[in-house]
Amino acid sequence: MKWEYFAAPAFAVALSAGIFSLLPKLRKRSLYFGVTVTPEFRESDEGREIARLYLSMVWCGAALALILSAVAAGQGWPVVAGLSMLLVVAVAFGAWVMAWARTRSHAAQAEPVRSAPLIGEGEEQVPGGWLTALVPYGAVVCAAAYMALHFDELPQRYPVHWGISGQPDRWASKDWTAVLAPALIGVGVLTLILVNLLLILRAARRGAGGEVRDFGTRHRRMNVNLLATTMWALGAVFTMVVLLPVLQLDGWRMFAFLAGPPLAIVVLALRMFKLSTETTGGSDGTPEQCWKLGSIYYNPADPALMVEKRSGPGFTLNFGHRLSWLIMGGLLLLVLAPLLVLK
Amino acid sequence: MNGEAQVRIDLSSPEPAYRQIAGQVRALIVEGALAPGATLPAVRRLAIDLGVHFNTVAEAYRQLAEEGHIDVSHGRVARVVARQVPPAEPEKVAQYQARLRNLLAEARSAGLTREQFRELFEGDEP
Repeated sequence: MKWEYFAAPAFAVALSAGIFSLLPKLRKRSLYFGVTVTPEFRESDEGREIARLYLSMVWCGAALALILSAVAAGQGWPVVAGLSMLLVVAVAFGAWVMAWARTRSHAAQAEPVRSAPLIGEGEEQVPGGWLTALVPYGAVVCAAAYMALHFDELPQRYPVHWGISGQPDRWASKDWTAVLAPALIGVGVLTLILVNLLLILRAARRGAGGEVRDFGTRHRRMNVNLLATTMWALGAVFTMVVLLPVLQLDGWRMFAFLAGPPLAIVVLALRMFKLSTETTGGSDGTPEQCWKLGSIYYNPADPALMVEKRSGPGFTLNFGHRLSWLIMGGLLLLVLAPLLVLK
Repeated sequence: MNGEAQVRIDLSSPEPAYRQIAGQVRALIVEGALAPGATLPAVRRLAIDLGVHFNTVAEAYRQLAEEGHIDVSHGRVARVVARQVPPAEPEKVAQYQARLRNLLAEARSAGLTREQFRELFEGDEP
């Protein structure tokens, strides 16, 4: 058996199964498998049975994926070993849909009362203001400009990949694509995050009312802060990546520079997961029948472009909003553009 | 300032949502909770927060603007304005007297005493 073919997929399979197992817990108490239920339902016999079935399916899927990984590693099929992770994802998704469909018959009555604060939009800003959000772009662009200005001094055998020792282990012949690709990808990633942040600020509900509104307000603010922090952290990482060929860092320094900034993301993400396990009652204000397969929101009558996710923390698009398809197309283009440039 | 001012709508109520919105904003303005100069959320923002169509909020704002409570002429911003109220004409007084009599009769039928009704009435007075 080739252990290197088995270890990484096996770790990924175990991690995915662990995350999928936690998914039903990572949501306020009123939601169970993407359905608004009474707080008591989760602890009822039926509620426990649904969770048991879901967890059994997820871990059966994980076991199958591990067997597949082991067989693929034994036969020397790295691609099949890598694809085994998709098996656990597919099984977990199927288990989720089954649990959602069974829970739907126990959905709580939707609350007909909705409330909204009568405060203007002027108070809704990007954390730290616009200039703060542009700093990560500035850092990446400055790094790219530095490399462009010193293009002639850069080595002809240009490093494009580094090992954990901090030494380059893959090279390409020097050209503009090799030098500027990390910056291009960085700008694309930062733009994806910024668009997400702006959509939450401008096109998501500010709250539903009462206890739920309080949850909604904090959840929204925490998402915005997390995205703003992610922009800064990834801005720092991409700046380092652009400059790596001239920095000559040893393994530990490189690790510290590249892994340090994302630590802030992990801290905030953990706080958001904690918030998502808080027990609150009531509805999130979206009609039950507009959720497809427990996680896709389609409601042409809702002017909100982004709504709170029902599976895990964060926001998702309202696919009934015509702009959502335009945004999906734009984002797809943004993701594909650097790949096309690199090609 | 606006402080914690909120608008609440009941989608199960027979009263149209735009009238519920207009009624509550009007009450907040008359009671002084929304002072002249205070800005209201943009139509788009309030519609998103309440999960109703943009036209529903636009209609409520249009009604309030026609009554002279808010000014929507400056782009997207709806602002509360100081409203000059002319003295009520005798017909208007008679109209409200009739409505009040009907309301009092309804309240008495529901078991409220005249004193309770007076307390409610005076308690709501701005």
